[in-house]
Amino acid sequence: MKEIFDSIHYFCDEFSEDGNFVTIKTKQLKSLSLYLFRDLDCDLSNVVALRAKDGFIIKYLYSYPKKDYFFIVWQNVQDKFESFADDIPALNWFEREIYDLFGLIPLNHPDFRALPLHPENYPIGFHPMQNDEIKDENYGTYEYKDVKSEGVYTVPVGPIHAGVIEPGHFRFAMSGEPILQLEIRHFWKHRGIEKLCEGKEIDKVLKISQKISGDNALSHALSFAMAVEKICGIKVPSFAQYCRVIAAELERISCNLSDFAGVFQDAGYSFGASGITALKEDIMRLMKLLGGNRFFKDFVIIGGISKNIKPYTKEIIAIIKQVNITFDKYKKIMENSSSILERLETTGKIKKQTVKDLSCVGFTASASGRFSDFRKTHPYLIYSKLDFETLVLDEGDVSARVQVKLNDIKNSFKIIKICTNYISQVDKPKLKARYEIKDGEEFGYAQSNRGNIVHFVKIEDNKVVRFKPRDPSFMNWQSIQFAVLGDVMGDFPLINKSLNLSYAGNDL
Amino acid sequence: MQTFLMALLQFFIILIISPFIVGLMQKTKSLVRGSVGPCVFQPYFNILKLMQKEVVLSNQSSYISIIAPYIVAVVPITVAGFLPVFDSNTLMSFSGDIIAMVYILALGTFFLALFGFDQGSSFGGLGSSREMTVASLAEPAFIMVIFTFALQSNSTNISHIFDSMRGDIFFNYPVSSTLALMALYFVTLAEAGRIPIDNPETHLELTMIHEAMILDASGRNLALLEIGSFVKTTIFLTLFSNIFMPLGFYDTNTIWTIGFSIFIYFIKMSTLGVIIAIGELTLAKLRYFRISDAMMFGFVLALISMVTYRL
Repeated sequence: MKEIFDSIHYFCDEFSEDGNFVTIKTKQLKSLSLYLFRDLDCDLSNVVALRAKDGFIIKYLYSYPKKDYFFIVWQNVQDKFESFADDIPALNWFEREIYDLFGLIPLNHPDFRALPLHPENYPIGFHPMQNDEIKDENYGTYEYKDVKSEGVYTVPVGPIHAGVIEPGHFRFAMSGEPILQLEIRHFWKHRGIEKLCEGKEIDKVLKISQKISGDNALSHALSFAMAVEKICGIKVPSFAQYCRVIAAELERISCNLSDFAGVFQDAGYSFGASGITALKEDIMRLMKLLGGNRFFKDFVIIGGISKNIKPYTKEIIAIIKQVNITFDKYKKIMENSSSILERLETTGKIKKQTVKDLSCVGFTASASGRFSDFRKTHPYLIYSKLDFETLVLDEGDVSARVQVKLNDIKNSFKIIKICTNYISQVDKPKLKARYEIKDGEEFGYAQSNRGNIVHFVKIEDNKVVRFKPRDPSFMNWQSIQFAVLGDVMGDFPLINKSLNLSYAGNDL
Repeated sequence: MQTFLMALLQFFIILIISPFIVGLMQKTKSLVRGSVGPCVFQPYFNILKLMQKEVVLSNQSSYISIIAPYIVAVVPITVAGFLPVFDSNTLMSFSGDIIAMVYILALGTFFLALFGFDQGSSFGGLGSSREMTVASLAEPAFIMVIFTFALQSNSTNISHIFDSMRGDIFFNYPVSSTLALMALYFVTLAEAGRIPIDNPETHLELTMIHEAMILDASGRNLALLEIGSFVKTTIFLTLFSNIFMPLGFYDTNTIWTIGFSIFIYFIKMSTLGVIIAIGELTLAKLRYFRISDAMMFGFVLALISMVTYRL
């Protein structure tokens, strides 16, 4: 790391190191960012704009997967800043989001269209995070990048779909069945979470954070709680840490099983789909038994956990064992069925370079040859003590993504077994630590089933003044535009399901 | 007079039983998957419900959308008049040419595709183009199977074919008949829009074939299109069962024999419905471009069956 720090010193004006977080202020932002992104092979993890005394601050968070380090690069800006979405494509959406919410103009942005705030619904010049006033009553339009040529036709799909699914607009440029281009337009359910959390009490923000993406309620609560705990210097008791891991892994199993069922369903194999859905139901009932509700809402609190799960260790072990047996049966069915594998293999290929450029996270990245799992690369809670094998595959197709998820389910079974053994031996379980709220700002992170969640929290006078969550779906959504190229229209739902991205988590 | 009544009876049996067969397939699938599923009579209620609802048409649509549902419903109903259920006297037995039957069915498919296009939505067009592809791939195999029977019974009249089937054709030419049976199974799956060719249960607009075309249909129009597809499915299953399971036929018609024949027919159709439903559960849907492989397989089977029609 010393060599790296030396190279960084070459660029920077201010440099500080705090645990595994390295904060850098620099005037040569572009060269430093490119050094981190290209030479060090860092992932872009979050970009946060926040109000400062005069003007604004933009913070770029890069995670360095080879060593457990994070780099925070920041700059002061007034009303415009230099865009380098051309060189770091992962920044594209972040910069557009900053313009919509803060009104800070990214100079020379390659694709400067509105993103979260649809110009049809929000007046021109309305930037909620900057101020509330509406200057103009005029509305704009959104221009799609349609392919116009003979024999090419556009198939717009959504935002309302035939099933009970979240809204998203997909525009296909087709020539016969093969897809020439896919353009996605999301953010139909903008709830203004960032604005909503400004000046709220910490407990309230914790509740809101669980509503960012319904199925990852616990992971979001966990990353928020860990950011707050870091700011206030809270030491979470080890019993609570183990319980948090059990809860997180149960959530991961339930989400991964749901994905597995979805892949069966969209491949037209309904027998497997309903069997796996029943398994997921078993896990969700266990979650209800342990946490009081089916999504582990309000299970994680600042400083620990709200419920003691020790009395239920027997149930956990019994249900996990039974689910494991049935799961193996369905896995075997999938592996032995040529008609299912034929659908999955070579469908929806994502190249390694695409994954790198877009800083994709989670199984999307791991299935395309770029390992991404914060449990291994940036261990939090007690994950550094646990022994589990993660899978990295090079194919990048639907089948690879399914395999990474199946392996993840197996890992979760194993981790839960280790953790329940531990908590059953604890005599006097301590659920939470006492704490006092301090001022400060920190990043908190946790690995959900889709990838890592990174939250930025800033506290002043016991209130949250800035909360910027980043759901894995925000990083991964753009990859679908590349995954479908060359595939046929009929395979799109399957590809979409294999990536299983959250519309709500993407749109705050 | 008696022959006319017999023909009318057979005609109505096909019409009445058809929603039940589709309901039975759904029920079987639900039960095997471990869920309760809708009642087997649900398709009847659906049709009744839809009949009472108003028709909403896209403002892009033309007169095609008004007439097409009637044609799509009437075509399979007409074809039902060709088919003997337990007696060779059918409504159309005077001219019941099996080749005519195939192409009358194609007329329904044609108007269904037009209906899909006429809605002005992209899914309708998508569905129509896929349906025409599948239909054009299924047709040669179907025609080959038909020719096999025509060669074996020296006639293209359905009633004659049926009469000779009741004899020993299946046992006289087991090789050819078995191959024809396999080919007809593929054709049935394609024409009835079942897995692995098409998934009738999906909510995913992009993978649909038959459902995509009727996505914009509503009310009475949807009911008519549904009736068309139910009767079409039943026609194929009837063909299947009468050719390959020639049971329950009698030379003399009394109340008892007719009742028993209807009962046997009902059992045969239910068995076939259950077999097809279970077949659907064991397979995933094919990739769109693999459908041609499956249909080619069906065609080759049909071709071999025709070449070896004396085996």
